[in-house]
Amino acid sequence: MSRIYLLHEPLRSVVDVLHALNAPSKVELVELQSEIKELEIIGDIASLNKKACVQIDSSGLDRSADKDVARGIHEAFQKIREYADWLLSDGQFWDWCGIVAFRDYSLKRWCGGDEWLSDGNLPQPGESQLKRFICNPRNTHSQARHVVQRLYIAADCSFRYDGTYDHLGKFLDVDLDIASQIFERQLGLSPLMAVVMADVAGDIGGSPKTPGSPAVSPRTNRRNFFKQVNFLASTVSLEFLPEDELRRYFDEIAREIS
Amino acid sequence: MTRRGFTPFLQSNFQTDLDIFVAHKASPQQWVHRSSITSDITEDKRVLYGELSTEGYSAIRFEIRSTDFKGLEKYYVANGENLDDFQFGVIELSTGSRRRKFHPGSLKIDLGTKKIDATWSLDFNLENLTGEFTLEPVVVAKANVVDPQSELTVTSGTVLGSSSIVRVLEKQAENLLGDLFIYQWKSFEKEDNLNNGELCDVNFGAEPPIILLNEDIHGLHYTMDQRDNPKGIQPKKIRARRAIDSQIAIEVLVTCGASIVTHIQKEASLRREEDPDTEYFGDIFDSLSSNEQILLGGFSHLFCISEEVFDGDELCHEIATASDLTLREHLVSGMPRKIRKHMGAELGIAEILELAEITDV
Repeated sequence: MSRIYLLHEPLRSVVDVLHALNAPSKVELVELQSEIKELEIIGDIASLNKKACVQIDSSGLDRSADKDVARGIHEAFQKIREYADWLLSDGQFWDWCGIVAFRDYSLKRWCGGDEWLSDGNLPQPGESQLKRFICNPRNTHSQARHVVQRLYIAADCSFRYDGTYDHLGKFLDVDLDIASQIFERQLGLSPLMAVVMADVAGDIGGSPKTPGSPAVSPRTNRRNFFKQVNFLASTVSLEFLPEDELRRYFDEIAREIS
Repeated sequence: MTRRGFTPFLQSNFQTDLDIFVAHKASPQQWVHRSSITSDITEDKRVLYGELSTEGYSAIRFEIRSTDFKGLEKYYVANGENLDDFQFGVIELSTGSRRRKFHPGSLKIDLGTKKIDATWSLDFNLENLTGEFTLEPVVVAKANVVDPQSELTVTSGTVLGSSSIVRVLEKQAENLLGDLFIYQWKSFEKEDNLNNGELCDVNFGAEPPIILLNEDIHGLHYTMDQRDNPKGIQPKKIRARRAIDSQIAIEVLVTCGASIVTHIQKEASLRREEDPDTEYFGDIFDSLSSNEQILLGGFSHLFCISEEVFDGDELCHEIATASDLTLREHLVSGMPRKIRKHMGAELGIAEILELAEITDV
């Protein structure tokens, strides 16, 4: 079982991330002291971290462990959800998750491992990959790109929708762009809207070439779908609508695009 | 026009009053009236909750009631006087807690005067509150209804009216600048690209972005190092520091706001070049830097052209579709004026003059 920590200072730049990754023993942590006994211990995230790395190594696919890690983190953080929801909005908690608790998995998933930290001759991860370790809790874009929080968000969305993790594949398997388009926007703050959008977007395919227009990839069509949904949200309160009406609106948009 | 822009159907602003109640940990069932904020269509209502827990309170209740509902009354008459076709409620939006939910309220009509009243109430546990969230009172169509103006049919879920947003903050939004920017002291006289005598300069492109303060100004460094008195009256030097803080915040917001608006404009032009039929520009937000997105998230109400926009996507769309003349006016006077008003510029100058002990002139 694991104790909860927060980074003493929030990560604010790629420089901070590099310092923390290069000198893990010097990362200053604050142990969460809680009046709620159950809250001080959460699930066994060390073994979850290890299993995820093994899975990536054996499959050769960076994202092969995403769904399992997502589900594992969500189950491990049950007590946090129950007793101290506020902690899941704390940037320094997620910074700790990425830099310390899930360090090995995060580095393997997004930076090809950790060898580059000690070998300057190896290709170094770019700024966009390192920025994924920084959590800005006020910004959906940052939350949806954070190495660990992005997985928690997908799992939490599925769980809040119907109490299962059955919808994780819609966010993490079909096309990672679906999760980005949904969760990097405020549209993704509603589990119902997120799941229905993912359902409809997942079925959108490409458009073949015609005499009048070039072929369009599924990803381009999906992005067009999300643009139209966002536009719709400017005049329609999507959060008010029940699921069947939401699906009707989204299916209509998808039909027009296809 | 409302916060949601122009629509071909009637969409109105209505006025609401807000009452805030709190319950103490010792007597959680007893609600005590804390404060009221009365109607104003144009300004959002701001509520700070950060100190309530330290004062011993465990819960906060928001009660919203309408005071003027003219737009909805037209819809009501045009649709067979069936109030069941409409729903009043409040959209709760929190990025920090990842919540987006419609909380229904109630609508009632006086059959004699045909006056419609709306009310809504919701409690929040203070322990679970963090960061900022917004509450937007809206009236939506529950079924397809006819627009009294154009006789178009508007579909269910369409927002027929909205009121000023309630922004519920843990602490003052101004602190966002302190979290985002780092401060550096420089001799402006020695730097080629900085102007002697200026209070500050901003390097928004740096990571993290930097506010440069002029160490050549006599007494400025000393004044800016002063910390607030935890209790009692603030001495002159603290009041001076606060006044200068607000001047710096204005400078930073005007500079960064202009930079962001210009970036959005450029991005929109590129998209129009690629596809002249492009109509929607809200997703320009995704191509902004994370610092630009953070500032938009915290200050969209100051950077927008209309009275209010809902979020960063809407702001990008509004800027991208504004005419050149509108944008010019916005950059030169509209936005800076809004920022100065919000940051209390006139108070800052008055404070500085008072501290300089200037009396009759």
